[in-house]
Amino acid sequence: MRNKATSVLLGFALPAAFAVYSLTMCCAVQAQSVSGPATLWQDPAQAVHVAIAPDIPLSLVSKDLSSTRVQIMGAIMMVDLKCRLEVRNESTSFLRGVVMGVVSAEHSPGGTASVALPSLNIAPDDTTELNVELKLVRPFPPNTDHAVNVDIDGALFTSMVFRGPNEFDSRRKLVVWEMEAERDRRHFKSLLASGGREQLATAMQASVQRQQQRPRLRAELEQQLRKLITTPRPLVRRERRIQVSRHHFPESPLEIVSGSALVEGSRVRTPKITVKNRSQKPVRWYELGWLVSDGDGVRYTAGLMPAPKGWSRLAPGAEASTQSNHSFVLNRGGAAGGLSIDRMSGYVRNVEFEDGIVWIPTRNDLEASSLDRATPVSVEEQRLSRLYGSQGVEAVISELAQF
Amino acid sequence: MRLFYVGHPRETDLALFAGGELGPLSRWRIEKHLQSCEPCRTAVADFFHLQGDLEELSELPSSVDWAGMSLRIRKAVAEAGETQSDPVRGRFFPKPSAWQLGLATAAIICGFIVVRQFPLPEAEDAVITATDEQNAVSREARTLEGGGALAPGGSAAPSESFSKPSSRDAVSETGGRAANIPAPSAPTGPLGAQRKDAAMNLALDRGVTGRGILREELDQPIGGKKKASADELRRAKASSVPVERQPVSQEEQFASLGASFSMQIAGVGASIAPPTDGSEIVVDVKTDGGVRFRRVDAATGRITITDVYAQ
Repeated sequence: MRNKATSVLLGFALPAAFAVYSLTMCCAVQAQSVSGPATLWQDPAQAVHVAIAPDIPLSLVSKDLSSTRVQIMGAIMMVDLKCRLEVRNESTSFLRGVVMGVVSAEHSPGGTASVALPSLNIAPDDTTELNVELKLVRPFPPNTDHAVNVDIDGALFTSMVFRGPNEFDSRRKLVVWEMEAERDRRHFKSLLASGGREQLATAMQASVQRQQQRPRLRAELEQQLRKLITTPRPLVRRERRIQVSRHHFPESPLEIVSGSALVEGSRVRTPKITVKNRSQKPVRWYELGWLVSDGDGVRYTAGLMPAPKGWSRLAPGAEASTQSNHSFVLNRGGAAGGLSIDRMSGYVRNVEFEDGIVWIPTRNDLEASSLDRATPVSVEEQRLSRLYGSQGVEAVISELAQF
Repeated sequence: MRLFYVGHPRETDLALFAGGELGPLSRWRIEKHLQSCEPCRTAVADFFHLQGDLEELSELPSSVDWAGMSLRIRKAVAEAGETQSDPVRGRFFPKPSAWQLGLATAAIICGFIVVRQFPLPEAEDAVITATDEQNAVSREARTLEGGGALAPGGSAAPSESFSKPSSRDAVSETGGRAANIPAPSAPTGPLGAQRKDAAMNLALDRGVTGRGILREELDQPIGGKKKASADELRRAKASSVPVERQPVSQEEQFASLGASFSMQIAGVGASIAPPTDGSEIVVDVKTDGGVRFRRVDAATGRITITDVYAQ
């Protein structure tokens, strides 16, 4: 009898109670959320919010979300964001670049992104179009008024004047791109002055050729299952530890002291590079470039290595290590396939001091170490070379004259 | 099934865990167990690092006659007098008890309730796009506060202090801090948002967003290299070798997935649309898990740089 009662209790009473509890919780969640019906969120005007911070001298002329699509599948919201903004430069300076921050789910990997348009030259009172095209996935329903927030995070004007919230490190990025642009424009202007349009055309052809011939590598991040099991292990089958050599730039404020990574074929784990601040000023941020070479000595750009997370500053003479717990697979793609990594090297891409001054390597630095053949050209050089390819050297000369 | 392990989990479960093949409850149980069990943690790490074996498995000679081998095995089993019978079936599918039936009923009821609460989209046609009225031009002629226009500053305006790139402080022209900029609408409850995001991560892990489809598609041959067939993968799984997804290049993903929402670049939840107009895209992987895309628009030549952050 007792067994029967227990069976009834376990078999029906508890599941029924569980069902009632679940129903109550669902109702509570539904009532608590500010979501409203799903169809409301499928309206891009409701789902996407666009804003410009008050201190940015840009005004919104128009916004077009008509191509944006929102799909809701259960508890998942998928946004195919196609946002076209037209903004006017309300300042008295030329607009050099803009960064927009896109936030869909702050605490999720990939929930935040930034979209930058460097190498602009928008005159005062002129308008320009800013496009954001991203595919986003976020939980549904959102607890916020909008599922996706697109904010202009920063704008850079002539003389490196920056405006904006700078939540996405926009200032440093825009300043670096602008400094690279100035460096390369100066280079091409000097060629034009010394050798005329022929020399400029030759340099442009060389740049196009270099971009086409640059050995490309597909660096892929291996799926990280759990931090628990991706802890680096000292002994793993055929892995060997390769030391990272450095590319020395005479004027670089940072010096690569040491570095290593575990390598097995085309797989690289836990790359680590230690740098030392050899300048007299504290460093706020830095970014390293990371290259690998195969057995034939061909060098490939493997990826970017930003400063370690959570650090504040690097005092003069101090050292800091950037280490990744991720695993990467490097592939040449196509028939070439996997890469047998033979050597690795690192170089300093840019450094931002605590006072906001940014350092980048000179063209001579890059050429002396042959990095110009392995690393991507600057955004500005890419823009000018494309201009040369489509409109010829006259268009490049006229473009250079505007700066 | 106990909520917590008394002994150790089975080796098969550890292998499936390492391969990300377990359901949420089993995964949670094993995670709990691994927190306090060094040997199992080592075993899981071993399974995880054994993923290289998949490459070897994938290079099995294509000339193997699997159908013939299967026939020969069946024949041998039949000759040994071992045929499938009801007792075997009964062992694998025991008669359910009352409480199991009840629990299943409750689960179905709960599932129905949840589906009713969060309905699936009816069809592709249900996607709504903004109307012209909603996208009407909104002119916001804005003037600089204090009537000030930007004046050349000489050098990059520094900020007073640095916390991280995510500083919300606006950098003023004079180098000091300006008024705080209103942040994008913050979640009404941070913990609630974190819980939702955690659920989102779980959903992404489990393939709710189509990663299951993605995984199927990613298992296509890459770069001419023969990959394991579905049967080979199943066999590999059965022999407790964790089956891990082969990493696939961004271009392969673009090619294989087209405009699919489920595209997950380097394991993150946001991605950019695959170029359809001949635009050039260069992808840089960051060692912190983020990805940077440099896109050159084919029509305008304008360059857009998109950073998708790992966190």
